[in-house]
Amino acid sequence: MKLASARELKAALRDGVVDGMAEALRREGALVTAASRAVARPPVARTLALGIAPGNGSDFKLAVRIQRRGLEDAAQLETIRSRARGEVEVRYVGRVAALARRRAAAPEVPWPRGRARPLLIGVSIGHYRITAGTLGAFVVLRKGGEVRVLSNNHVLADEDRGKKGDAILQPGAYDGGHAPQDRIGALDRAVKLKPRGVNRVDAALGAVDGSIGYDPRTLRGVGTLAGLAKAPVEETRSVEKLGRTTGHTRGRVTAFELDNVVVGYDMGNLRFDDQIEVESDGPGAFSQGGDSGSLVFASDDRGAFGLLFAGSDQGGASGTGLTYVNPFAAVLSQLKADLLD
Amino acid sequence: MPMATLAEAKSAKRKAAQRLTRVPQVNGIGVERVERGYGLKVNLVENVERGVIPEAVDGVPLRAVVVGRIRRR
Repeated sequence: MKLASARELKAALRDGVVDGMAEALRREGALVTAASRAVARPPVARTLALGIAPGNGSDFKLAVRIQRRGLEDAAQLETIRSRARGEVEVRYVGRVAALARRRAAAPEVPWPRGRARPLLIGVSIGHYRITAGTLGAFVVLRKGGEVRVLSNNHVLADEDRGKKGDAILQPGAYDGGHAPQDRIGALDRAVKLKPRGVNRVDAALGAVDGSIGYDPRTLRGVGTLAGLAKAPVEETRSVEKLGRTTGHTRGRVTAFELDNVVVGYDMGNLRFDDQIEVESDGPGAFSQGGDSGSLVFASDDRGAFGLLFAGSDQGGASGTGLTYVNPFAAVLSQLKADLLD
Repeated sequence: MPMATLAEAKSAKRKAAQRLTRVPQVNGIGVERVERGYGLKVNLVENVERGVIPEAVDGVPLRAVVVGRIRRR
């Protein structure tokens, strides 16, 4: 294409695909994305750079530089290829840093987003096609006694699009996890999400490969998980969680037995009943995108209390939104499993 | 307003749900702890006109709060 056309196309794609995402990230000050199908993840744009490359003779092509592995098949790239009618040069360039700062300390990856062996509660995890969510806990199947990792359906089973045996990565793909080297197991079972009718939990289990170690009790930086929370929900005030995006946060239960909660998914709006609502106990949010699947535990006894799965951007004492949690007993009951302790 | 027990709050929640699930802005009806006892909490996607949401149901106080839309995380 001509240089002017390449410039026009680049500007249009930058405005339409890149800038909105960059602004969102500036506001957040950190990587914040819901555990979602990789092709739908907004921060994909954050890792694409657009430019113009010389083509044949006096022609030019659109240059796309990918800064993170795993994005080669992203939907945004398909959009770009289509808009450029194939006159596009895509290259993986990895992380780009100013040369003068190359030897300076790179920003350290927070531990929940890194590779963890043995596996730990609170680390990044996900079905190979999604971005990343959080490993909530380790459970044992009531029938057979095998150990499984617990997280949300939309983290381990890609909203029911995943099949039994699909690879589960730790860290999740968004955090650099790749198959086969970061595979820790495979999707085992999920509680099906109902597009009509009432959902109670967003939960799934992954089998753990034999070579992968796990630590079912350590709440890194907090202490030790102490079985199930002893107090009933109506008597529980203070809770905490360890999550992939916001790490260790504290919150307060603001409502329980919450019915008719409509939650947006890729598959549409789903209704949940009997949910627990939590607000942050500090200046930041109790959870953000990527914290899905986090185990919420009671502050009083560090007992398992719930499974984090959704949130709003408004509400809460600090105005940082509210977090929604499946009661842990319902999660275990529907998955026919018990907490490993 | 007199204190409501947990059982009274749960009963009022069922009644409130029958009325309020028809209000399109309502996105959740639950129980909350209040200073002495329990109340109802109604979550809204956006504000509604005054009078649409009652201040109490069967003597159980009801608090409506705008939480916006809820997304999976």
